[in-house]
Amino acid sequence: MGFEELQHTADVALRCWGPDVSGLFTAAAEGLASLIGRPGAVKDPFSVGLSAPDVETLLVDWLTELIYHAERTGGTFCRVEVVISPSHELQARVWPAEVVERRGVVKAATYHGLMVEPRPEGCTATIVFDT
Amino acid sequence: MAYDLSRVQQIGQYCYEIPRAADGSMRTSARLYADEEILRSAAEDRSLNQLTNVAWLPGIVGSALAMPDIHEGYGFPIGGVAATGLKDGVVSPGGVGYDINCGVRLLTGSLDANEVRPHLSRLMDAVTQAVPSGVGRGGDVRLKRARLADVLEGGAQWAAQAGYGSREDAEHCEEGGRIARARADAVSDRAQDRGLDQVGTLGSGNHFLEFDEVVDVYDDRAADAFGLRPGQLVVQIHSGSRGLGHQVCTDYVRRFQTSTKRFGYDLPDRELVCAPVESDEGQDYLAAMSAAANYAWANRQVMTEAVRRACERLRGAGLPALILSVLYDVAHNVAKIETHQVRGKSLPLCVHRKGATRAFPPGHPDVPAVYRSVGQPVLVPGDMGTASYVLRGTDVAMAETFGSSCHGAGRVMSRGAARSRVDARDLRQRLEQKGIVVRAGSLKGLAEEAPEAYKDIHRVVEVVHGAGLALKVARLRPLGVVKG
Repeated sequence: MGFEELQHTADVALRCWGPDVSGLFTAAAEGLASLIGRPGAVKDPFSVGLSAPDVETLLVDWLTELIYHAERTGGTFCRVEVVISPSHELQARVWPAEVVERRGVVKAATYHGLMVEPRPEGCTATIVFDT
Repeated sequence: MAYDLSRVQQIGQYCYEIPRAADGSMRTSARLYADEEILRSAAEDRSLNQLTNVAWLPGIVGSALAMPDIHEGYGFPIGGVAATGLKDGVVSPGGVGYDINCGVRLLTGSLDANEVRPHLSRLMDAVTQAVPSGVGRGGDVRLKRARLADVLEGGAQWAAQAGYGSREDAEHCEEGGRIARARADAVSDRAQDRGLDQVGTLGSGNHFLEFDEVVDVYDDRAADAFGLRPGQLVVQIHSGSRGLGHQVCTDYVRRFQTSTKRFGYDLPDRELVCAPVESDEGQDYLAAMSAAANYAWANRQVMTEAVRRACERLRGAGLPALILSVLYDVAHNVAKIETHQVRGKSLPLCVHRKGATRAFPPGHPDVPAVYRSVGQPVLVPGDMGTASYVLRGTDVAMAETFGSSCHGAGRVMSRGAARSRVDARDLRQRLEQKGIVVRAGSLKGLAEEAPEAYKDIHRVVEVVHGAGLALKVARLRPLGVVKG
């Protein structure tokens, strides 16, 4: 499970991977958190519940939820636990955190070229963020 | 992977065309205004693929267009322009982007730069204090929901009425600083939440507030009409609709994912989701996008007044009286219903500009009366270490690009690459050696916006000038920069 930043002229693209869809979503959240900044003091967790017609939409919805929360609180998050059902329903716990070293702003997660691809080693997706 | 340039034909000194593909993936041709170097640069990332995807849009009129500041975005390339018919065409939130009405305004100063230069450092401190900047930072204007609706439907006109500037300020904005089709009820609760405390804030990323000196005037008559003279102090404010605009785009890209299927569109890219302009979804999006655009105009108006007040506060400390007047304010990311000539007929079209500037010609009724004899001011900010330009709109733009021109220099280097290649402290020193005072929220953010991360602004402007889309009026040199 992990993520890497790819070259994108204007914005930021992250290639994320995990052993399964839930792992991919966890990696994508960690990647997003890395774009916001280094986490400091951890706060009380909150729950997220989402459903979507397909897994790509669910991934964008999930990241959108995290972006919204990060902006409203001025923070980031340091840990997530995600469970995704085959019918594209998500249940998650998110541990928000203060930012001790801010990297930047993430305006949105986009659908540009987005495809969740099952691979023998797990699941991957490349997500372009508007930054 | 680099774009295959054998598909590209040169059809003018500064115009290249990708013919409509035989496989049906393009409904029309794609055109890029560029010189050879800009074309080669555009072929190195996915800009041209994104442009040919735009040519897929149902109901597109004319060609899918890109300006010389083209670079890779998502859905549309940055620098993209597309017009669609109202009866058979679509509106696409991806053709506007997340920072709705990210735009720039230019204030003309009553003083020369030389009169301000001795006070510049303190002035930049005062402005930095007066205009909140940085990630998510709220401003001094905190609105209740009912008042926010006034901002969303009133734009810069709301700001002027609320005591932030004058009616004349709003009249000197594109659309008079207010798109009338805006509806606050089309903006989600979540988007409104994000907008409650961000009016009058610069934001981060490529947003900036810059003091400049007019160093060259190319067109005396137009410069005179615009109130520009060599040596004059001017101020640029580049910002947008902040979190509210981001959320509006997010909401409608999500909603359109469902409606796209209902309308049977086979998208080349899901970020190009769209709906017929005249559908309920299309109308709701245009109403919400217009509300976000109005929010951006109000935002830049409130910041204008904050800069004026900062200058006023320094009067007691020796700065001569400085009157700042709004020359003009243009939107870079917007979709608007405009009337254009198509094959000899006057037609209303939905013109998407994503990283492009409206450039209406002399005599156009939408150009403020004081500028109508010379054409609309076209504001083209460059990078913080080089130059910016003021141009004027032309009949050529009206005929070829739905009255559009470039919006800036355009990036050539990713933010990550800029961070790793540019030493921010060294950059600050280089800028200061050129006499440019820098105030930045973060060193990393400063590095991301380094001059070398952008195309050569002179080259970009020469293309639009040479192509006749917008003509040079004046060049500006940076004196002091506040980076968000």
